Amino acid sequence: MPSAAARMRTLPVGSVGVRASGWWGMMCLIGTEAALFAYLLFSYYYFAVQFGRSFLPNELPSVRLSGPDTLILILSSVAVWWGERGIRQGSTVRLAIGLLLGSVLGAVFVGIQYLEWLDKPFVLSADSYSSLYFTITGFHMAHVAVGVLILVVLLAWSVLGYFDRVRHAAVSIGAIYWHFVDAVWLAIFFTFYVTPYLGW
Amino acid sequence: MRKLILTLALAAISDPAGAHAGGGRADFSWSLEPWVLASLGAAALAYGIGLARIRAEAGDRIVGGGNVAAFLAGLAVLFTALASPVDTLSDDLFSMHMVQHLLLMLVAAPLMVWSRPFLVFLWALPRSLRRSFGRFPARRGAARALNLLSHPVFVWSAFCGVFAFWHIPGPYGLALRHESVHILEHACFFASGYAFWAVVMSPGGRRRLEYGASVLYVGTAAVLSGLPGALIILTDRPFYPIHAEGAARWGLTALEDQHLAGLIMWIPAGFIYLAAICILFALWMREADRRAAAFARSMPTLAALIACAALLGGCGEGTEASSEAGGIGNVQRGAALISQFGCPACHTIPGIAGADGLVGPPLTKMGRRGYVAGVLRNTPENMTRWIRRPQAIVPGNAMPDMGISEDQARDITAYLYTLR
Repeated sequence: MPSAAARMRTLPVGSVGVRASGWWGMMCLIGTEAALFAYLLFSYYYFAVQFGRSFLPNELPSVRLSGPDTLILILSSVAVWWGERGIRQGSTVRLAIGLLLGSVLGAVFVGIQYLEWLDKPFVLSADSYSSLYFTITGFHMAHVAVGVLILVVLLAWSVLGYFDRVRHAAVSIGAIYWHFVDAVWLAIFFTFYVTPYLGW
Repeated sequence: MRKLILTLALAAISDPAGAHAGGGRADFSWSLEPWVLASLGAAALAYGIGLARIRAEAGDRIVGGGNVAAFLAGLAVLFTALASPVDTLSDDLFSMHMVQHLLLMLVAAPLMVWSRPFLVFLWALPRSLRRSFGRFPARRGAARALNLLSHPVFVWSAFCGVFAFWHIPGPYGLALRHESVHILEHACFFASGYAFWAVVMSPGGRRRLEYGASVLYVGTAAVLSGLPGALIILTDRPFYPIHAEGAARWGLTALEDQHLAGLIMWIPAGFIYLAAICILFALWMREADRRAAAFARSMPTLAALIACAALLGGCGEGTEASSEAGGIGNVQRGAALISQFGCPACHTIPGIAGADGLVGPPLTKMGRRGYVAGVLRNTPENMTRWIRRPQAIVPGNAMPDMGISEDQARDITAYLYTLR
């Protein structure tokens, strides 16, 4: 044992593998946030079944901005996944590039979402649709903002050399949150931008 | 209001003749479509051929009676859903359509999973084809794709997504107007149901998901698939005008029919999920029991540590109970008995003073050895038997019967099992 300890120049940071307490904490957080978004989307569908198509705004939501935005978010997930695969093979550089791309694309997503908000002819208090639109996309944007912050912190840590092939639990925990936020966006996108065109 | 719906619905289902008052003619016939019958027949034939071949090679170990019964039951449910009056009625009633969908996803699919169809169908193929098909999942690309497609998160999302999507009025109406879309809809239900239950059921003994996670997996799907049911019930507007005329034939308004469908989606389906959760929970507890028993069997290691601590600290009194923990015998008494019976004269035994004999085999790491005396599997029972009557087991060998009692032999075994 002393020889193994002596071979290590610095003490290791973080746990081996992903099953750290942080992992379970993140799983619980994802559980609560998934329930939050399930309720929010259920409210949307509840209003939709109560009022029918009159619930929708006159101008149906367009995929002009939200379509590319969805692609950007998916790409950011792919970038983070690629970076995480990199650190599993011991490449800190690949991890840093993946996290940088992921956080930049995440920030671009928030920017385009904000443009779409400005583009809407209605405000938060106009009717039940507008309230739900801003509440749900607003909650999601807050989650994306938190996710970008997490990715930036992870990027800083990876540049500082805190991660290696064995010890990178924080990266896996942050990445799973990011993928979750993206999956929630797909559900929101389907709800707001696809269901109005399915005919009901 | 709710009571009225149920009364009407029950009347409509139990007494079709009495419900004709709504006007039109209520259709209660069978829908024996050739392609449905042909597919079911082909599946049964393939299963029969595969089963016969497997039985000829391996008996009933791989595909047992339970698996075959599940296949027959699954086939019967598919026939009921697709060819019986359930199918004919589902043209009229949204509620009966819901019954049909639930039969496909929640009854036929798990039964079919239990029957191990892919394995049996593979055996129905000629040998050469069987080889190439059998190797397919092992190919690198195919293995990755299959792994991704059968990933619990993906399957769960697909199952919930498919279920919700096809009950949105647009896609639902499209399926009812076009036969090909209707077939696609039913194929989606059955395939996603099959994939869903395959994650939590393990007829081959290899689980994709452990029990605790399986309970969460089924539980969350159950809650989520109740939500569309709630939406269908919590409205005063009929979503599926296509059923208005059909429902009237059974004396129901479209809205009553729709409320009934929502309740079927919510409550009977909920019972099936609940049953699955109960079974998984019971299996989980059983597995925990098994693990605890296996842990107790592996306890001698711990007992040895405790014994060492006791020897070092010289506090034998306090650890007396703990050194019984192995469930075999008392480790310290065993060590004393080994010296008392003179074992050290012939054997090298770690931890016993003066035990460096070279007559018999050394007993180092005895707890990890495979055999006792080269003839008995190394289990506590066999070790005890051997220590008591070595001459009865291998007559003429060098180890004498020492007149050791059962309890003493167990204590000695307990000590020997601490040597790992």
